[in-house]
Amino acid sequence: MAIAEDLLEQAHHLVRRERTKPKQASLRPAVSAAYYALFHLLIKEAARNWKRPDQRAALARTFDHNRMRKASQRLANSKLAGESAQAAADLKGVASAFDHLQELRHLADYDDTEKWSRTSALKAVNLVADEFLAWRAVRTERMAQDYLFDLHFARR
Amino acid sequence: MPMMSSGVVKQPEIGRRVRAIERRLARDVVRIRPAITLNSTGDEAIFFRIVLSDEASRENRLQEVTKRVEAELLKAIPLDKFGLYQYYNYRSASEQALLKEPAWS
Repeated sequence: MAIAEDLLEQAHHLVRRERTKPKQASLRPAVSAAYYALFHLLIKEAARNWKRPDQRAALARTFDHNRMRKASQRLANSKLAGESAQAAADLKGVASAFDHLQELRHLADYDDTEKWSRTSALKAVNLVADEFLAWRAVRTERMAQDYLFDLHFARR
Repeated sequence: MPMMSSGVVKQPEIGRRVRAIERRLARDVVRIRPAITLNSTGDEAIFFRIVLSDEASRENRLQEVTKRVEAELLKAIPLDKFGLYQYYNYRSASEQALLKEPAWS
């Protein structure tokens, strides 16, 4: 399996690891793994558009989390006029989830002031699982390919 | 002179809108606690701590319930009017009873 799918599977495992008293050491990495699953899914898809396969891994390493988040926020809050309503909703869901999960990952990894509940972590993991499916439904659409471009490049 | 953010200025209005959603979704939502602050990239944001009923927190209902809650919050507090990115965190009533965190009470 690819790293994105492996990370999602790891997130599913961690969020259910302790049946009755979930540990913070399981819930927090579950949220982090869910975010990185989505991150790797998108950069793999973007790098796939590069013509030379032997350069794709190096290209994938140049993606910047902050730039990807800004592009995701722009898309999630845009109108996408003229597109099919379902496809636009699916794509905006992916973009919105990227913004949301990056923030949750930040809280999960760096903010010890609050405890995580299984409900919160489960919601995050299942959200990413849903967006994997949504992405597969729209990935060949022009607007999805434009999104991949915007994740890495600034338009002039 | 220090400037107050638009989100802070609109806090009373946001509180009213959140309470209306709490009432509308009372079957599934125990309470919603909004907090206006900056997100990790320095943008103004509103974080919602949302306590759900135990029934609504069951895995087979969680996605459906949370989608409805988030759609209502986005409609009531749109980014283009309030200038706040929205983030949501959830716990069940039972989880909050164990964790007892004041920010969620």
